[in-house]
Amino acid sequence: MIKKPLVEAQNIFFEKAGRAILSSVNMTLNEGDIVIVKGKNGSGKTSFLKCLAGFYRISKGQVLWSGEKILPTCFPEKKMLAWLSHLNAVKLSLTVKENLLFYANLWSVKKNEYDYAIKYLCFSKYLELPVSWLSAGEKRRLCLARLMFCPSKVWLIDEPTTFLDEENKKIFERAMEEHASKGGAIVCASHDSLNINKFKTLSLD
Amino acid sequence: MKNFFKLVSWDFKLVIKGSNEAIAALLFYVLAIIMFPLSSGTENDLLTKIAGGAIWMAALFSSLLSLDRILRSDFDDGSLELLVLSGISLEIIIIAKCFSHWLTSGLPLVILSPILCIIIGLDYSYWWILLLTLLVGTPSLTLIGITPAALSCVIGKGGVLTAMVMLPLMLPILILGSGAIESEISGLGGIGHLYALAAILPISLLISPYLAAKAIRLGWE
Repeated sequence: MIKKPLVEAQNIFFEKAGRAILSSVNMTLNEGDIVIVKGKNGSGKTSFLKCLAGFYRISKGQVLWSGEKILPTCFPEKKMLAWLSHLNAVKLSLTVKENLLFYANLWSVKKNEYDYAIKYLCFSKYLELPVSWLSAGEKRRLCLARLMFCPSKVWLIDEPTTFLDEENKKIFERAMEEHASKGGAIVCASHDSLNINKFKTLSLD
Repeated sequence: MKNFFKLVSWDFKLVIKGSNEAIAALLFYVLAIIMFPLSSGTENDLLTKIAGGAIWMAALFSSLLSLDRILRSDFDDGSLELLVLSGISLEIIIIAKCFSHWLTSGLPLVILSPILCIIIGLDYSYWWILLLTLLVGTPSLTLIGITPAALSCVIGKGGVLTAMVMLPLMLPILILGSGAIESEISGLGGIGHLYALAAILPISLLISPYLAAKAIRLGWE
């Protein structure tokens, strides 16, 4: 039995305010795939991710998740994907630990996975700090830690390495490879060049 | 169901540890009620007649002030997206936010009402009808107000425009609430008004979160 691809975008078109942003885009995502979406500014990388997740409605074509037309935002029976957008969904008035623990609790994350994610990104010393004290790069690392302990196979991430320094960028590239090798799949929109073993490129120019 | 209470306790924690917006609305309510008898003189008869309406008006404006913050901050920083993708329906998220908002804005109004009853000059034997109308009416105020608050997320700014949209929708509750107190004072019995107030609650619970969820999804597109 051929396994259905985790995510499939079949010939999708998307327009915003009359302007065609995505035209005839195709993508298949299987287990272990890393797809890097490349394109100039305004070519629709973020829009493509949002179309896959279901935030935007496509005008033509279809998006299939595990072979079905059920999009993550519209049928929230179970957690289907891990999402990282350019907005950091963190609350500035609380500490790092409180922010992370809320999502760990919500997603029923086991303690060892949570600890592993924090240790992997070397984030242990930030736990008791209020988020308002963190720099932009450190806030981004908070989001990456949350992404790492998220219990889903598919990662849809938008510019994950913004504000990160070289060292942390390398650590995250290794994390991406590890996730893919464990059977996960990643769609990453990035205009930074990422140093990963094997990946497919989707160019939106 | 467990997710619902997780969301409520999270919002509650945010309000307590966050900025003082919740306290501001509450303070406005208390100050408005304290100022009212000071500014309108000390004629007991006149005060007793208008007191019910004045308290309800203060409750209404205090709700208008605090409703803006429910959805806006979560929408703007991307938390709402993450919550929807966590397997929780957007309608349930909105109801959870309404509940936590009521716990921090509506319930204090209810609890403070007997004390403010004395301050504003309402005859103390009517404290129970005031408490009951506030208890039944303030959740509806929150629920009805959530839809314009969600629409303000779509537009991107709130303030006066949202308040102007919310005010006519909240008028029935104001009229029924103050009418209940007035009827009780004049001896007709306010129980009929209470029933009508109680009827608004399930209706708004059904309709408003659904509309607000539609507005949020529109805002995302």
